[in-house]
Amino acid sequence: MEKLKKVLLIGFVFAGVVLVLIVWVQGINDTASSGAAYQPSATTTAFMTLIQTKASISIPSGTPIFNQQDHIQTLVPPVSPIQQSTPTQIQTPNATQTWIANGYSE
Amino acid sequence: MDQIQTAIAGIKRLLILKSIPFSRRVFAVSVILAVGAWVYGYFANGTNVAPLVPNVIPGTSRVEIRGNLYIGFNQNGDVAGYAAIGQGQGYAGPVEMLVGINPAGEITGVQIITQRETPGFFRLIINHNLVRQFVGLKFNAPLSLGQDVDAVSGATFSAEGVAASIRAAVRTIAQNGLNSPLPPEQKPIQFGIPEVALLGLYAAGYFGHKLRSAQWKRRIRWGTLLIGMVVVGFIYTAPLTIAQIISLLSGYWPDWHNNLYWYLLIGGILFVTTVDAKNPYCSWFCPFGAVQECLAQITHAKLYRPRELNGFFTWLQRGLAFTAVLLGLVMRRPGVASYEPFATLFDLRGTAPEWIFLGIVLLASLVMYRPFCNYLCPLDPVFDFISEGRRWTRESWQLLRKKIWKS
Repeated sequence: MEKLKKVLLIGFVFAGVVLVLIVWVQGINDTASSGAAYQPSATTTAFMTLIQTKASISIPSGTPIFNQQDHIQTLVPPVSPIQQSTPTQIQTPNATQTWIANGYSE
Repeated sequence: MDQIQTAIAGIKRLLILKSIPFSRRVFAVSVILAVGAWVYGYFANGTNVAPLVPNVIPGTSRVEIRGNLYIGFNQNGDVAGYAAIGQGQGYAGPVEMLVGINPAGEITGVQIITQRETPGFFRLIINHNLVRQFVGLKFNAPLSLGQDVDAVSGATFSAEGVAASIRAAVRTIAQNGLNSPLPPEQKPIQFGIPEVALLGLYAAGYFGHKLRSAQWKRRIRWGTLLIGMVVVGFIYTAPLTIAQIISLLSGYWPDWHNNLYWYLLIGGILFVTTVDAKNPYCSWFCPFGAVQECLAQITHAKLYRPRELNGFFTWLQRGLAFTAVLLGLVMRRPGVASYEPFATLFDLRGTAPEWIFLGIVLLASLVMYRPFCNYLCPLDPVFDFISEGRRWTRESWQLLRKKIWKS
């Protein structure tokens, strides 16, 4: 009886841990495709540019956008390969920058 | 010579460290790692917004950034619209939305920039097409849930976060782009049944702790547990979760006017645990704990914790909790780290693994006393952590006071 109890307990904890890991992985995947547009931060962009030039970080495919033209479009990222975008932090108060097609100009 | 001295100093440091109990060394390392995760998460997350502006202002080929306003121009060089980011507080953290408005003052597009909600809650927002409902509304419309936009039941806080962030963006555009500032937003203080129930539960728990009669203590405890299960669990689905602890650590503190419950729940629990060294929540009104205890009553299940496995289970539970905290801090998404099956049970909402998890826990509750609380819940290690920090601080303070007295 004692042995059976122990086996049940270990089984429960093991199954619980495995399911927790699955829930975490699922949560991370869900977040990536939940509609939030991911773009690399200035730090990430600078780091990626530093280590290599061929990496590309793009907005996850299927990211929903809502606008008047057609209600749900699939996002085609205007800036896809990382080397095309200048690593600029855009939230600079009072600064005027212009974004055209593939990058920024001051 | 220098190398030898450095080595000696290193050994001395190690000895000093060895004189500290294991649990305190773990405590110190956890704090350092958590701070590291916080710093990494803070600097590693960001959004490059300008390329997204054409998504919310159709026809834009050029975007000018003026402070917090994005101005979209079409190919003829005319203003196609204005865009801005607004932030609102969801359930687990801030929600940021990019909103586009045409020169006529009509919302032309809305895009989610960042959200840190529990995936299940945010899935409801997407499935209910909440964001789409704002498109086409005028900038001076109420843009409020239950008025011109349908509410989303089961994800009230997240939906309110989305609506608030859209309103904030619209206000920025109205003021800086359309030159038609909107009157200040009214923020009534939300104080209702959940807040009253929570205060009542705290009071009952406080006086229950003080009672000498074990029978009355037991009765009051069962009363608070059942009220907690019904009110905090099944009616309002607002139990304490690890996501709220991570939100607190991340600095995602919601607006107190409409989130007084959040402050009462977390603030109250942390206050009592720190000051009184008693956990006022788990044994007294945790709704999920109450469900497990009710099931244990059916079969008279007892606590089972073999001595030889006690240490392993304790550290496994702490490891899970700590991984959850680190994950939430690194990703700056408290909701992702949360794995408690609370919403699955009280809101009947979850994915297949979440349902399986809940099923296993409920079945195990018929055999063991509170299996989730005792082996897997991430909140119990949080209370252990606070208690350890409290003990250490207290002992250090007493030592320091003695030294001061001596000198």
